[in-house]
This record gives sequence, C-alpha cells and structure tokens, in this order.
Amino acid sequence: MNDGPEQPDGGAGGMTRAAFLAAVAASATAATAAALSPLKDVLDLPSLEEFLQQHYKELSPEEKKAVLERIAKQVKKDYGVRANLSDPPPIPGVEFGYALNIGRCIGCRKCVHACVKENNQSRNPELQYIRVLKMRKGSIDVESSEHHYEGEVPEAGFYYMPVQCHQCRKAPCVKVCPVKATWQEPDGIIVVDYDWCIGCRYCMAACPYYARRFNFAKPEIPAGELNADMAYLSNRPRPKGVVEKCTFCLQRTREGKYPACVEVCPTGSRKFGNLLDPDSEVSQVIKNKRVYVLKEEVGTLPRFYYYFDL
Amino acid sequence: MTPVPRWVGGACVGTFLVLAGVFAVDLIGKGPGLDELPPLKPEHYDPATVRKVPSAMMFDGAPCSSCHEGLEPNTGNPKERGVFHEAKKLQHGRNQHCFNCHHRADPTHFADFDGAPIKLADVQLLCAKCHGTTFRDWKNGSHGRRTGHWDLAKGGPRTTVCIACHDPHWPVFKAIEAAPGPHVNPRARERS
Repeated sequence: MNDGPEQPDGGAGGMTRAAFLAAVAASATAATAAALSPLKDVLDLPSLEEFLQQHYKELSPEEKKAVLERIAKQVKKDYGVRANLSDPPPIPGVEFGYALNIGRCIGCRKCVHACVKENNQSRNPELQYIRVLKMRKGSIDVESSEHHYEGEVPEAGFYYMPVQCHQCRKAPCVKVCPVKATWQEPDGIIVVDYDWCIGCRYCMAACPYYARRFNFAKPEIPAGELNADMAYLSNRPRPKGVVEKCTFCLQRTREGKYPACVEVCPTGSRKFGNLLDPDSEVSQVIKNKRVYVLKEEVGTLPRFYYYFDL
Repeated sequence: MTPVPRWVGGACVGTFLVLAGVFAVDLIGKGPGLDELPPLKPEHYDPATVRKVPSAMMFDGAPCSSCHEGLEPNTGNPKERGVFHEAKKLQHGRNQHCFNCHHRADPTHFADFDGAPIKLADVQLLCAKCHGTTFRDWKNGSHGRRTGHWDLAKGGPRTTVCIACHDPHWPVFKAIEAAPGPHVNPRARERS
C-alpha cells in the first residue's frame, strides 16, 4: 500500500497542504461531534443559581432561605407536591446514639422499607440505607452472612443483624471527601450536601459498614409517594450522581421524634436517644446491657451499638 | 512545498469518518435496562403493633360480665367446666394455670400474688410478677417498643404494653413474612 503515489490515478501525485488540512479538520469535527452526541441526552443541567451556590456551611441565612425556596419550587415542578422544606439545626446538648437488640430482631425488613418511604430514596433503581444480615447463630462472621433471604422469619438457627450508617465519631468517609461535601454535625450526624458532592465515591470506598449509596441514575419516586416533610441535609430529592446515606432521619429526630426505623420495628429492637442524657434509652442500654460495636478494630468509634439480653 | 500524497489524505479522512460512524451507532450500547420493581407495600412501612390491645376484657366479643355476672367465684380448671374457654391454647411455658393470671372472683381483672386485682390497663404489672428483669428493662426503655418523641421536652415517648406484641397465651413472638430483599442490579447479575 505504500506505493500510493505511483498509482496512475495519482494525477498530480498528491493534494495541496491546505486541501489536506481542510479535509482532515472537517472529518475530525464530524468524529468529535459524533463522540459528543450522548450529551444531547443530558437534560438535568443545573440552573445558574444552582451552579453558583456556595457550600452549605458558607450560606448566609438569606441565601439558605433562597436555596430552600428554589428546591421547594423544583419539587413542586417535578412531583406536584408542596414540600415542607426545612433545615432544622442541631439541638444543643444532644448527641444522638442508636442501639439495636440483636437478640430480638427477627429480620422482617420493615425498617428497610419504612426508611425508603420516609427518606425518599429512589425506588428504581432501588436504593436502601439498611441492609439486614442473616447470621448463623454462634457466628459473628459477616462474610458468611446472607442478605437475600426470603420467606418466614426468624429462621431457626439464625439471628439477624441490620447494618446502616453508624455515624462514627472518627468517620473515614468524612476524612476522604476531597471537596468537604460530607461532614459531622455537632449532634453527631454525618450529613452530605447533595449540591456540593461531586460523586467521586471515595466515601463509599472508605466506609467499613457499606453505609453509603450512590445515585447511578436519576432517582425515581412515584409522585404520590413522596414524603413532603423534607430537610435540606437529609431527605429532599437527590440529583443523579451524588452519594447519600442514613441521617438518623434528621428531619424527624431534630424535631424530637424517633427515626422511621424505630417507629416501625415490630419487635422494639431499635432504640434511639440522646447519649448525653443518662436516663435516655440508649444510655440505659449502654449502662446495663451487653453491648458491642461492629468492626471495633477499625477504630471508627460508632454511635451505633448492638446489644443483647442475657 | 511538497504536496501531501493523496492516499495519506484519504487514510486520515477515512479513519475519522469510520470513528464518527462508530461513535454515532454507539456500538457499546447502554447495557441492560432497568428491571420492573414492585412498588412499596403499605404493610411494610405500617408502624402498627402486631396485636391490638383491647380496651376492656372481652371473650369472643362479649364482655366477661355477660356470663360471669353474679356467679360464684371460679373454682377448678375452667377448661374442664364450660364449653367456652376450653379452646384457648395455652403455650406459656410452665405457666399452665388460668388463675396464675386471671382473677378468680373478678374475671375482668387479673390477679396479683396477694389476690389484689390488676387492671387490664396495668397489664405490665401482671407480667412483671414473673418477668421482673424484662419489666425493669421495659421501664428504662431497653425492652419493648417506644414511639412518638425521644425528646422529653416535646412530649416524650409512648410506651407499648406487653400484650401489644406478645400474645399472653402464647407469648413467643410469631414468625412473619419478611419484606422483599434488596434488588440485584441487572449488570451485577449478568456478570455472575
């Protein structure tokens, strides 16, 4: 093929430099345009205000109000629901803690579904904060656990260990975030600013509890099922491409209520309260019961305790 | 200036056009689509207790007084006497006697150790006769359901009595159908 110039149809033996560059540039443009064509499907480009929005912690009260109004308007447009959007602050003198009685949990997964409903997680693709592990009695090996079990529970010879965000005091997920889009609040809850998250998923890799979830697609929630009581840092609808996680139902607990998983648990295995109050349920559990934390050896100091009766 | 050989120009343009074609037809594709997933079922997020607590002592929908009014105090084993209570299945461990809990003279109440009546509304005091440690845990919040507010300033928690979860005649917690498990991503399924 390298004898091209000698072929009879070569005519003048070649093309001018200008004609060559023009032809190459035109075809290269066509190739680039074809390569970029998937961009025409991108419909959820951020608005200008959204693009220029500051980090949550740097927002002034007026700016925060404007942001909340903008989000409420967006929710109205997307779901036809008038959202009761708020940004409840942490309560002074409160550090939230959670205790779960693994001797009582029967693995019915009602907590999982109540959480999805309360926190407006995507239904399809499905996204759940709580994972219930079916563990062989006498074993604490999570690697041999099973989380796809079906049918009647509890099954003889097994116990159930629900795992969700442990709201660690030394949270690896906060440490690795390159843009400080996730942090620990004064009441101990680790939150994510969905408008600041770049979706790198370092936090998911860092979390030893598999507590964080990524929105690979735009979350889909049926309009009628949207929970209209929402907070900026927790259960407002998330955009595609951000990480989200359990916030102990911050929109409920900062108003003094129990999280949705505590409310729904049919066995009363789930306990929630203020660790700084010596009479609260969690403090009493820690004081009187056999308590352990999951993966103590990784040094995350969770605020989520498993306990059992004797 | 030496002219560019025509085949070089053709090769360059051809390569780019082939590339454009490859990009345009999207040879890689979008992968498997989403599965149809069933919507959440209300019973899976319903915070109701597994049992209903009656507001008054009843048997088959009739108040106790409709039969026991004006009768002598019960003696012996009621299961051997009437046609009504013999169907009650009692699977409460070693506690196999009706009048360990029910009051002989006053069937609308329960009986304490000393024969004093315990009201239905205070049923936890009856259970505490034997389950002292569980009663202690229930009082400080480590046993049993609590709903409402954790914050005492906002009203505090509502406690749930023993019989809202445990059937007093068969107190072991009954097995129930588990809600659906996590969905497996189609991509992950294909790989395995």
